[in-house]
Amino acid sequence: MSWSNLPAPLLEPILRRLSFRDKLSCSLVCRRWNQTVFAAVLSQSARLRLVRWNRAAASYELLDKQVLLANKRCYRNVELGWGDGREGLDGLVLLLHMLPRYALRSLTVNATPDGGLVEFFGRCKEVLAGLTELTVRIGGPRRPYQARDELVFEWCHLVIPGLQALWWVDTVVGGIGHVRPTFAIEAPKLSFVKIQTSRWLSFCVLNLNWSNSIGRLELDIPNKIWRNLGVNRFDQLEVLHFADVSAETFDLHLETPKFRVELLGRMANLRYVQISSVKDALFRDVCRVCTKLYSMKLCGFTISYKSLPHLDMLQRLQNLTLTDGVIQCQNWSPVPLRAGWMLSLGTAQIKEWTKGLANCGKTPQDVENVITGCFARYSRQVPV
Amino acid sequence: MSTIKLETSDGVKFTVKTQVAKCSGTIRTMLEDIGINPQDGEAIPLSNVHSTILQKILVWAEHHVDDPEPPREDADAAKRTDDICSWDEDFLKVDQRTLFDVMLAANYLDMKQLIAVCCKTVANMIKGKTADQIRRTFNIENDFPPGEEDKIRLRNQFCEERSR
Repeated sequence: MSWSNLPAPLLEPILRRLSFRDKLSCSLVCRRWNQTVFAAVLSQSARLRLVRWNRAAASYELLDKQVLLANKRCYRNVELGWGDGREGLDGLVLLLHMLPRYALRSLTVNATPDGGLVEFFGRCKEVLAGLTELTVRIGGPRRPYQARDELVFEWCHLVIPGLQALWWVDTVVGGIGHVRPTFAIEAPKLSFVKIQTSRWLSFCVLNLNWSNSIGRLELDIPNKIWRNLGVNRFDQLEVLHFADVSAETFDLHLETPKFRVELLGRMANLRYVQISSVKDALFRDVCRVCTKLYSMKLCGFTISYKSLPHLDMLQRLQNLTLTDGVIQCQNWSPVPLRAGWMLSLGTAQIKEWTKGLANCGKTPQDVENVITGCFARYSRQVPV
Repeated sequence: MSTIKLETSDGVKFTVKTQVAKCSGTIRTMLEDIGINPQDGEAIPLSNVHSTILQKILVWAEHHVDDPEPPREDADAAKRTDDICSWDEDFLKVDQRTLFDVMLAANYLDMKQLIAVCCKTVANMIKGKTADQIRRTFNIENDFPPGEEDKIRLRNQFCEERSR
């Protein structure tokens, strides 16, 4: 017996007390230690990357398949990807089927836009069914759509009963191609969804209509995509994080107020909302409909001072944060919030503000004084 | 003060205070659950422990017999390695061979506190060393087939610490 045979119940508590670097050193000591370190630490607490972005070929390339097969153990988090080539995809599907399925919990898929994501999902359905976390990143350049291209509509239906978190990132450049996939994900337990994209335009790419327990929805998408999003049950939604990065110049919400009110009305349990490019109508609707809000953050706003008293309808509001925007005063002179500063108000300050507006004299100058006074007192620089 | 007898693998018999012997989870279980009666004068056989090691462990148990039950360790506390008391530090200033045997025996006897102290000591010996230095410290033979080490190095490159 020697140190190389140290039983796992003794080696594991030692490993727990070491830094990640030291753990890696331990795995290089001898075969037994390597096995123990890998089974106890690396396979679970580390992510195994199977891909590398090949700059020259502009695609992901598969890395040493042998490494994975040689250590066919309990991978919990796997990140994979393939290039446009089919060989990579075939290999990955094979690999994924060879991994112990009970262990795999979280999967990250890196795909190129024309690279057969639908096919991959279709061939790995059984493997995907056991996931609790799924991250899909689609990126890279896309072959531009040409008029003579025939449109291909692809449909992919996944059933993932235990899925709790979905992160969908789409950073493809070059508009929409001729292949138009729709991914319908049937995940009744889904509670966290984050979507980042700027390019779905006229059709629904992600359909989550089976999920009625989404509690947190973070959207980094332009306003006009919102309508195409396949999510329609918001009974449990508590957090709506809506970051509009594309600086839409026209407000789609203004075009369809009925749609907006209906949508907000379905989000009866909304507690926290972050919205951007807020205009009067949207602001009033939110105040009127989402009465359970306790935190509201407006990033980019153009609202009239007349809308501010609507805040009184939000009985539970504890926090109002404003950045980047102007408040229109009576004589339509906009009072801007200084760029790079944020206004953060608690319950008492919101009351004070709305009361101040209600009680001040009705001359434009008075109104402006109340607003600038509030800005001056409570705004502070956004920490960089 | 009741005593019990323990018999080691090399046939040496120790007479130990029951309270001290009960530092070992294994012996405690034998006495309380299985109901071995220590008054019979029959020694409890500890077939995995050598007398020199048991001697050493009994010294430790004697010193720590009155220690209060340690609080349940939270994740952060379990990671610390600098909270070894000075008595234990001196106690474990032994060659790595003895340290190894003490650890195995402590594991066999199910003495959680002693295991924790030993693991901390070993972790401190490993910290900051390269694989080669670790091998030399603990006298471990490099039994990787040729090329295997490079493969593991390659694999380790794909492993990254999870932030959560």
